[in-house]
Amino acid sequence: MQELVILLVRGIGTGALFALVAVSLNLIYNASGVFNFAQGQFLILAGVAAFFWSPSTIADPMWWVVLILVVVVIAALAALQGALTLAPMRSSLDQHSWIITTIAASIILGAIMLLTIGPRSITVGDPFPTFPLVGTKAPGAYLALIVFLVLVLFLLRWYQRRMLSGLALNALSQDVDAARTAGVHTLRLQMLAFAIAGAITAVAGYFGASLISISESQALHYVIFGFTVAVVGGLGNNVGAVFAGLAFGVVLMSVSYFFGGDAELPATLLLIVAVLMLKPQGIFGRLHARRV
Amino acid sequence: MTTITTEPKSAPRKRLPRLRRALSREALFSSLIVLLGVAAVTLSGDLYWRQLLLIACLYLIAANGLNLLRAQAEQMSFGQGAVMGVAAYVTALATSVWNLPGAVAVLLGLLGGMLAGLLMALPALRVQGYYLGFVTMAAALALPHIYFLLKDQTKAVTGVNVPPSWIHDAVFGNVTWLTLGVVLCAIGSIYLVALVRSSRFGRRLKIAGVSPEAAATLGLRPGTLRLEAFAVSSLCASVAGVLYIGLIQYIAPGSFTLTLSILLFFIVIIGGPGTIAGPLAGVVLLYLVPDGLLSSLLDYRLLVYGLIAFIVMFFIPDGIVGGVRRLIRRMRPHVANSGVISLEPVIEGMPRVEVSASERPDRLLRVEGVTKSFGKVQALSGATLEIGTGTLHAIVGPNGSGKTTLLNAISGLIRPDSGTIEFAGRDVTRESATNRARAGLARTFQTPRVIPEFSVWENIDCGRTPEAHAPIADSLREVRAQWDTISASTLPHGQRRFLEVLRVLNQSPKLLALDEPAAGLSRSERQEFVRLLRIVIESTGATVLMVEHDLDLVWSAADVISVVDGGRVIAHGTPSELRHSPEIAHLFTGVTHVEG
Amino acid sequence: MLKVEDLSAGYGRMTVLRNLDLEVKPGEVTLILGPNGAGKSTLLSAISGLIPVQRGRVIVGDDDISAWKAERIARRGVRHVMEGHRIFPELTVEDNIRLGQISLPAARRRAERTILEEAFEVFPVLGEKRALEARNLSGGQQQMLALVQAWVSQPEFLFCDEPSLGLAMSLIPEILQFLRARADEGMGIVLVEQLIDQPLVVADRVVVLRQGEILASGAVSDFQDREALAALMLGTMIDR
Repeated sequence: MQELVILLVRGIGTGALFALVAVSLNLIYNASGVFNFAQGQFLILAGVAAFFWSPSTIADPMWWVVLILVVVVIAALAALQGALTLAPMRSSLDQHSWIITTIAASIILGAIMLLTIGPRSITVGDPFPTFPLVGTKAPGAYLALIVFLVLVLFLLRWYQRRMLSGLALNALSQDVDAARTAGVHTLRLQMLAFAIAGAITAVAGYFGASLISISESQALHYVIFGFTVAVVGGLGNNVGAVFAGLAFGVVLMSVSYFFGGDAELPATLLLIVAVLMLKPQGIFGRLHARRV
Repeated sequence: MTTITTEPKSAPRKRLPRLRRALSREALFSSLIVLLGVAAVTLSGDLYWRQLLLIACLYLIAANGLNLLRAQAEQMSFGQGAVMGVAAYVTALATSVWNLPGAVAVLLGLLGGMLAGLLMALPALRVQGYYLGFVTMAAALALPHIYFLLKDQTKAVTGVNVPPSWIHDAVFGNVTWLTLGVVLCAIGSIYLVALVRSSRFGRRLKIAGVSPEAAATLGLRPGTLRLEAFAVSSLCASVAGVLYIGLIQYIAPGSFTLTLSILLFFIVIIGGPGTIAGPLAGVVLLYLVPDGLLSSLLDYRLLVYGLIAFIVMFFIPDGIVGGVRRLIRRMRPHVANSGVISLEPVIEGMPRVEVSASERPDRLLRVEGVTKSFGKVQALSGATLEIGTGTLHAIVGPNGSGKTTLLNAISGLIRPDSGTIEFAGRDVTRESATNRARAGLARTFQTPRVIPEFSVWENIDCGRTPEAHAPIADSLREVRAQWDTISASTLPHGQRRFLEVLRVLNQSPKLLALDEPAAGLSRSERQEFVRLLRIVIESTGATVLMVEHDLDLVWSAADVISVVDGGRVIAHGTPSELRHSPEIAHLFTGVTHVEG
Repeated sequence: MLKVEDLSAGYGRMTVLRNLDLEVKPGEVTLILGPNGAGKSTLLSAISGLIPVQRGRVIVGDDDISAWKAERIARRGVRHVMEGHRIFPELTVEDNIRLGQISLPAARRRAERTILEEAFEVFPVLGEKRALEARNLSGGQQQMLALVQAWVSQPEFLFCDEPSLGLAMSLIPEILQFLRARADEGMGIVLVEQLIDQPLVVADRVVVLRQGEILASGAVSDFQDREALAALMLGTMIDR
């Protein structure tokens, strides 16, 4: 029983991380039709930053200062990457150049990390206090990620309803041409979407640094996990991504528990092939078709 | 004892398609480079460089397969290295662990690689594009873990050593059987690309990739074609994988990581997708140069890959070879073949078949109470329509009345919510667009689905091989040689419309459904177009159904007109019957006719 | 003044409009009539930057906007309300209206409460549904919403593409009157229609378009024979 609860909590906790990556991917996808292969590198980058600079506990105010710096830097980096990704798409007829440019961005970021930290996998301690759970103690990072996920959902919702630029971002995801004729600056907003997505991923990586294996080679794993969650939840559907993310986290944790860590990726592959074959529009369906 | 089997005389021998001249030249050039390169290092006796060049050849083989997948079928894979790995792994296990004879091991390796390639591409039956990129990437990431999961069977912990065998013996000088095999396979893969690119199969792959719905209305199955493309591509990777074992004689789960798959992908993209020499240029630039000449900078290799990819996407999106070609074309202003095709010879050459009225059914298509809604929008609400054989039937109606939806329901691109569609006496309501096309229901699109990289002729001959001898085939054969030299990219819009019609006529359809065929045509082109349709009906006995905005054209050309409004057919008649109908005028202009 | 000179435009290689000249004056409703496929929407899209201008120029005031992006043209005060009432279906009625001000610099934006009040005064039915997502509105209400969204951006020129499409006849006058009122306030209105009767009432100038060319144009007083006008639009369909 206790084991089951721990499995569940761990699953939901890592699931929250996957959901956060999926929400980031969705945000960019909704605004620009791009799936950012480099998103995983931002997660790892935040983890690396946590390794080098963050104090070991959140009680230290420096921890929060570093968090803000990490978020700002990664958001700016993501916005820049967004601009570099979108530029060839605006001029050339090849609307799929993003696949190459985002992979290239991922490789460049990965190579830089490889040159600085090497191929090793680094570990970071959990800065959050543990919380009691059915007679044992669970790592606080799980709780932090879940709280952050809920916060992100509400903040995004609020932003996309209340703020004018949020409304515009929302509009862009519904009807590109109508948004343009309304005077919405598409490129600026798409870069903003990259930046927000970068920020969300950065916080996820910083909070969850103790839960992920921080090495350059893991970055694409998290992209694949995030993509799987986004597809199962219905592309672009954030609420779907949250449910799919939590469920996927539990599944992955169970697979890992029963068959070992090596079974995680093969199980993911199986899942994504099955979903694409049986229900390509995802379990929760798309919110709406994007008019391009 | 020998038995001699003879082919029955009536069965035509299947011949390989002739290589297009430009491709043949490029293939020869690329092959010579491969041959000279390997010959040079073999003669020099430098073992390091020989090994490097032979591995480069393997990458070239795998990249050529990927090039076909990418440029011909418009699909992508980040799993090409993983497929190569499976083939290599199976070969190694079969030789060293299961102790099977070499030939069997090679066969098993090829089969294993193909199987892996097809399994990871299975979603291609349902989805395409970047979805497949993600799936194949997941597969490439998962495979090393799968080897470890099966570590007892795969010896994942230690890896598998393969002992040397006769393939490492010299044939002559210091040329081994293996060197010979690698070079032959590399050249073979170059010619495979040229061959597929020149074949009808290649053209089908292209149209299925560019426009799946157009492919379906030509009787092709886009999902199956995508999978076939993956099969060809996997075959190349598998050959490379099997040869890899011969060269390296050792394999472990870490031998084939995602990095290799991404390297192969970049080799194609940066070298120049769709060109024969592109992958070769890519291999030289991304593998030989960094590994051979700049090996001290190996740590920066990934960084360089990424930067090169960005530079190429920004400045030469068609890759190095594509860019060079564009440059040459600009420096050497050549007289392009005028992009005009004349319909005259084709139309004149068509045999007039006399189909007596009693022979043919008077009703070809019956649409009964078809409804279709998209979310809250009711696009069709009980449309009913009958189309007589051998008529030119036009559908008109205001914007948003459901005309194109009706056409899509008829050609099977959408499935109606209710109602029945009968074609040539058969209920086809549940049939796919492909099957309807095979039954003789062809269609064209509002924007002609013309492939600019193809010649005019190639654009016409890219559908299914027609079962019956198309009446138009003979006259098309007359112009084939000429039209094969005209690039479709030079055709003006109106000619593209004609081209698309000729393409579906080549399928000898019973019914041609045309979606706004006159849009964008000049006045004289409209007249020529109507004349073409008339001759088609007369000479082939086919029926034409068209959705058209240009009422002028409809009124002068159509035999029967159906008026659609609000997702329903509200009136039906000959032009002269509808001509004086005030309801029609009201429908289109809102003018209320006042009597007296 | 908005001037179109020798304009050719289309989609990709397809040229739909050929060598077209047009002038739109502020304070007037210019009615562009033509059958389906005449190139009416193409004309509006080319001016508003949604599709590239293949040839010729579009000039607003002192600016040559032929090569501008759609966003910039909207910000310049040329607002295109596309055919098929393209509002944002997942935003509420209020949010759709608020979004209209996105094209204005902060200094020109007005209090959201004021613009909402004004909008609901003009179209009370929208006020009743202010909190609903726009996809729940009827076609007519969506058209009203699209127009209001454009209106709050205080454009110099407002293009309206087939507002009557798919609407009950009884709703059309309200929408046309809205456009007339904006013209009377000094806005330049381009109204594209295939229907003749009702739009003609609010128009100042008429342009008849067929197969990408202007067949006739002039003051509305020259086009009072509606059946002749219909015949002109539809060609040989109706006996002349």
